[in-house]
Amino acid sequence: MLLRRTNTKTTMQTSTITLLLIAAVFCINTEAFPDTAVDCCLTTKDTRIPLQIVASYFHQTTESGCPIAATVFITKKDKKLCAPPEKNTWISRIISHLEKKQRKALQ
Amino acid sequence: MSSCPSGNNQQSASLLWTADSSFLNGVSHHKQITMGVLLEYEHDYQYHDHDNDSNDSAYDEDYFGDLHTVCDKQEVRSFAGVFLPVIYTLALVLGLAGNSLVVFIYLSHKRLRTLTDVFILNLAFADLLLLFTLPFWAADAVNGWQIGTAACKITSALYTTNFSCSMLLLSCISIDRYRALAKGSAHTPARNNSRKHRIIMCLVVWGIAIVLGLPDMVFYTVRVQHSSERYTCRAVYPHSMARAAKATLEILEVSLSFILPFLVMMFCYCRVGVALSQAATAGVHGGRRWRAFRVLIAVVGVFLLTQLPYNVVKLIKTLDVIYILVTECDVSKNLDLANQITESLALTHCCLNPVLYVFIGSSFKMHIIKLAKHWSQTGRGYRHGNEQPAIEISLKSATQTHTNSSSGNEDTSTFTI
Repeated sequence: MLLRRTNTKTTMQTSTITLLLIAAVFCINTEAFPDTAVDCCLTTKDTRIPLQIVASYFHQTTESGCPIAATVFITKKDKKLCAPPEKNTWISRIISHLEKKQRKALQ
Repeated sequence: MSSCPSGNNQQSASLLWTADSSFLNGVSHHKQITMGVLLEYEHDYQYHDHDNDSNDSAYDEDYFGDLHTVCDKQEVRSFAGVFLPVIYTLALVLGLAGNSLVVFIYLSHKRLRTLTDVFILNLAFADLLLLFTLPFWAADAVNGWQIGTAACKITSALYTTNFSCSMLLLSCISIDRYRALAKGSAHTPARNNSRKHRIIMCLVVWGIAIVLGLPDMVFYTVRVQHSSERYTCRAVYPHSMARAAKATLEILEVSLSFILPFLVMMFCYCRVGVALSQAATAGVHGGRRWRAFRVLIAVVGVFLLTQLPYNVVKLIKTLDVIYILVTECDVSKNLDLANQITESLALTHCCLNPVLYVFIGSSFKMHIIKLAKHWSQTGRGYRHGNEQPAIEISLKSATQTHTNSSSGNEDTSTFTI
């Protein structure tokens, strides 16, 4: 005798509906496709960078698909150096210097 | 080449102090050499000379060994630009051929006798819609996203909706096969086979899949990568929730797109397998049972083979988001490569679904043979049937007549293939 159950139809129908509703309530898929490989700082180090070798900078954020936030300084030889995101003294000084230089260039 | 800025004595003093501070903290030179460098720098500044290359070179060599640099993934993107279009083209050709044939034969010749037939037809539609998004992702891998934000949102939502729908339908097919077995032995009335019930089930499945696709419509957008000046279509979360949201959603996705369907399939098909073993004592022919076993093993095996590697990689990446595990550039690059390869493997499931769920069925083979004979006699070429949206399928299903639709034997027969 094969498997027999009372009200199997109703039970399985209820199970099916319940399963789908659970999926609807809890599952929110947003990763349809992976981020294309993004160039990121993976770590930073709080080591002062000489002001005279820095040409420009930008802020790396987790919004941009990177694992950590950071300040990236680009040198005159196009190296990209990773510094902490916080505005500590030496980072702020380099940033303000670069911004002054940019304003002067625009005048 | 930028020159030193000219300025008053105060600015000059400030710059000198800055240089002095940097040197003292960053370079362990003998004091005399330090003073020499400072004097040289002052000299350059006073006469407005450009920084010379040897100076920059010296600084670079001193500092780069100690500082962390950006992880450059151009080689990963180059690999994607070659590998992904090839894979997507193959998947598109094979998937379109298989799923279109399923749709054509069901709509032209084969009646939707069971709920499983309805699910299989919807599965073919979901796979076709998913495959249609592949050319866009191939172009994205080669050139970046160049067709705007609206297309980005729609394509991403379509992909997720149909991928989720595909997984849900696989679960429903497992449940219905198990139910067919149980019902076959119980001889219960066939309310589950009513047209109204089928329409409701399809609407529920597609409704849930559409809901799962909505977050993509919201979060996906086009952003330019700063380092490579390249537009990409990807999820961008509000800053306040970026890390937590991404990790949570990835874990939920692994749980409900892979673990849940897998558990449902394992439960249902193990019960079916046990029942088939018991059927041996009832004198059912051995060859018939063995064929059914092979179908079960193939279905679960292919599901694991295609989906497990991708979900393992996804889980590792989620842990990385939470704990920042990956700090080496090479490890991060290898993880991205693994993600590309395993996701491509996961996509092949929508090419294999027609084979796993339809073509190995004996009744379907009969229809194909009949079709081939018909065309060879009339001399007409092969033509794909028109694809129709799911709603029309449901309505069409409602208008079809069903003689013997309530037969438990038909359910069992369809299952045992």
